[in-house]
Amino acid sequence: MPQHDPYIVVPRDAIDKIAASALSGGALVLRRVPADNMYVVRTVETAKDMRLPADIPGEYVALRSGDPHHAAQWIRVAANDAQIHHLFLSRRPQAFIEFAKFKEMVPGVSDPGNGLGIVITHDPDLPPELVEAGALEFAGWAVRRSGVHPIHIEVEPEVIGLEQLTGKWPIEQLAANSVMVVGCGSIGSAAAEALAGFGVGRVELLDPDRFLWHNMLRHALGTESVGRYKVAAMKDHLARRWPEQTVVAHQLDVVADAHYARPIVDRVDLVLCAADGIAPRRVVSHLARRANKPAILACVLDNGSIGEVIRLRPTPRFGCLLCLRQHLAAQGAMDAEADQELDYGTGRVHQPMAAVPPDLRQVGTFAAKVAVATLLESLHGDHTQRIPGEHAVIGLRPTGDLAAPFNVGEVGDVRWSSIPGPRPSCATCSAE
Amino acid sequence: MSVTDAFNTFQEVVNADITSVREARARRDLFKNAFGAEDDVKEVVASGSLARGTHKDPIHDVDVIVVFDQDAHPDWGTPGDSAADALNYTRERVNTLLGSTNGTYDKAVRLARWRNHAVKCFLDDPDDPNAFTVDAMPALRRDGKLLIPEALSEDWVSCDPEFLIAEVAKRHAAWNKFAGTVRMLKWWAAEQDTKIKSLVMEVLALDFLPTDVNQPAAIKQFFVSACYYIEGGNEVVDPAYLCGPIQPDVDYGELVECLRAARDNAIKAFQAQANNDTGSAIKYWGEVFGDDFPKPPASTANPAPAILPATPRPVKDTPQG
Ligand SMILES: [Zn+2]
Repeated sequence: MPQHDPYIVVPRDAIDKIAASALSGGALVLRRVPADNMYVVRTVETAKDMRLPADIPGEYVALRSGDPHHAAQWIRVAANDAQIHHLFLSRRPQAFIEFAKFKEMVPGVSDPGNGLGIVITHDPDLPPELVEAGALEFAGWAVRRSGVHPIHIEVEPEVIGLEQLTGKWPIEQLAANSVMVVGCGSIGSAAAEALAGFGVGRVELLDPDRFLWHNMLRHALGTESVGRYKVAAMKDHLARRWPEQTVVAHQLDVVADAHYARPIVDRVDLVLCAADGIAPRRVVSHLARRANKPAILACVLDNGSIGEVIRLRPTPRFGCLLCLRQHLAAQGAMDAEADQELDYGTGRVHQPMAAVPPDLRQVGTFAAKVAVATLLESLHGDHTQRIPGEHAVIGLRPTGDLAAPFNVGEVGDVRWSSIPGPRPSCATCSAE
Repeated sequence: MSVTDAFNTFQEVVNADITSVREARARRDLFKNAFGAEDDVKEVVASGSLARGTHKDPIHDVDVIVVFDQDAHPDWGTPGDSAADALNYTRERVNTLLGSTNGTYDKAVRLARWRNHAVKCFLDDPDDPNAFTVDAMPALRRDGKLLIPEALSEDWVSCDPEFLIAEVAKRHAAWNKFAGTVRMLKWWAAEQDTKIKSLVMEVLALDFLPTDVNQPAAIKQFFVSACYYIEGGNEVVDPAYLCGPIQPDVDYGELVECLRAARDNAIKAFQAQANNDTGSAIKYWGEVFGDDFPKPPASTANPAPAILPATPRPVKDTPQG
């Protein structure tokens, strides 16, 4: 079938109506979408003079648009040659059947006059060997007096969405898991989308801010969400794309509302923190460790030149964020955070963000990958999801002059290292 | 021989011999019935791996908990001498009821000695290295938990062995190979060069042995998750959160090494099976479980050696749509 031939799209509901009809054939009304050279089945004659609309969910905007009322037919064919002819003709470009021959093979086909008739043939008893060979239960035909050509039919599958990955990706296991995402900015929104795409069953979003014009450059959300709370807009955004996932929106600040965040940490399997700022990351590090939950922290450092993803595990071998930061400061790898923190809460605006949108998306997606891998390795014994360390540095626009372990030299390089154990005096890591 | 066949055969090896299981049950029932008739005994609870169905061959002991009536022993359950008193009392009652020379209920126990928590009763020749014993542990029931004497600390401690029994039963109801698989994991532990208590494996299994996949996959998943957990420096503690660490003297460094080796071989076995290389899969499972795991068939119709050394697999470039 050449690329410029029309294309018939059959919604599931229309398929069900044809299959269930007691008639041996009937009328169809198609909608034509000229820009995409596509016909969509909209109405099916299911009983004598009874025409029922085929249901198409509202979000399938393209399938609901176009010019109405292109008359067509569906015809049930006995186990004869129509579907196998369709198969063979489809494989030979320009091949066609004479109209008279087609009429013999598919009785009941209307004469198209000087126009184009469209016919869908249905063989409910297609032998398995023909199915094996590639023949289809439903086949489409462009019927002209000059000849009948096969047309491709795309039938809405029974299974769409993540369920298609059943058996190939542990979707059932992840559907039972939950992650709290702290911070729904550029990195957080990318992480939340990725968690949904991996199939994490429940995500609890936490962010106090509104989505405003200046956010739009780097965010998963767009113009439609300007003015809304980020968590509420993200919840709607994810619900449209990933309806199988549960999203809970909390319009909270993890620092100011830590007492509200605590019970959320208790009920999730893992915390992913993509909050912009040192204080929220410290609070997450503390809350997660006290709740005995792993935490993944993601950010960009040094004006967006490198990404950083840290996996904090609440165990005797691994320290918390503060333990790591003090260790890095002591070895001269990092500026003491006390200075940086002066910017927060002193009324000064944040530094303008220098990172480029896809770099932030990459860091967010990477953090989600680390989160999901952690769940799969620790809770589900998935050996394909092991991580080489606890601290990843990702080259985004690396200058090559940073101290280890931040000394990635090339774009796309990911440098993994471990993190030190708890400091004896650490208030977060020491026993309650 | 398929991988499943190999596991079924190995399960037979791991499962305790049925006659010794019957003997163990008979000995447990002897204690249950003898003590159950005592005026100051409220109930006799079967405990230990036999009660959980997770015993492996050979059976070393069977555990019973004699729950005494607090009213009959008002001074028990408080710090001091009463811990030793309770153990002494239990030992005396064992001798009176079941002593081999003049037991009133049955003449069965040749020697009874008390240890930290329980009275160890020898029904076989105490010098027989294969003798298995009945451990009778006195206890009081308080707030749904058991209070047991601890001779060393001269105190009584809470414990909840019934919690583990109930948890194992729950898992076994979800997957009828759970208990058998735990026996295999205990077998694995016994094969290691470092001392790993059976109970450590049982408790790890509660957390990390899944119940919704087949036996080889479940064991592979167990080793991956358990290794992750122990590598993090975590301890294995009483699942009822009462008695703390199960084996305080375990060498965690050695345990991690053992788990890591098992994990890596289990992954190789799992991947070999996924690649339809049954011979290699069975060979790698043998490296996990030791010499008693069935050997892969020596030769096949294929003239090539049955087991090729595992070489890196070439990558596939398939369209993903
Ligand atoms: Zn710390």
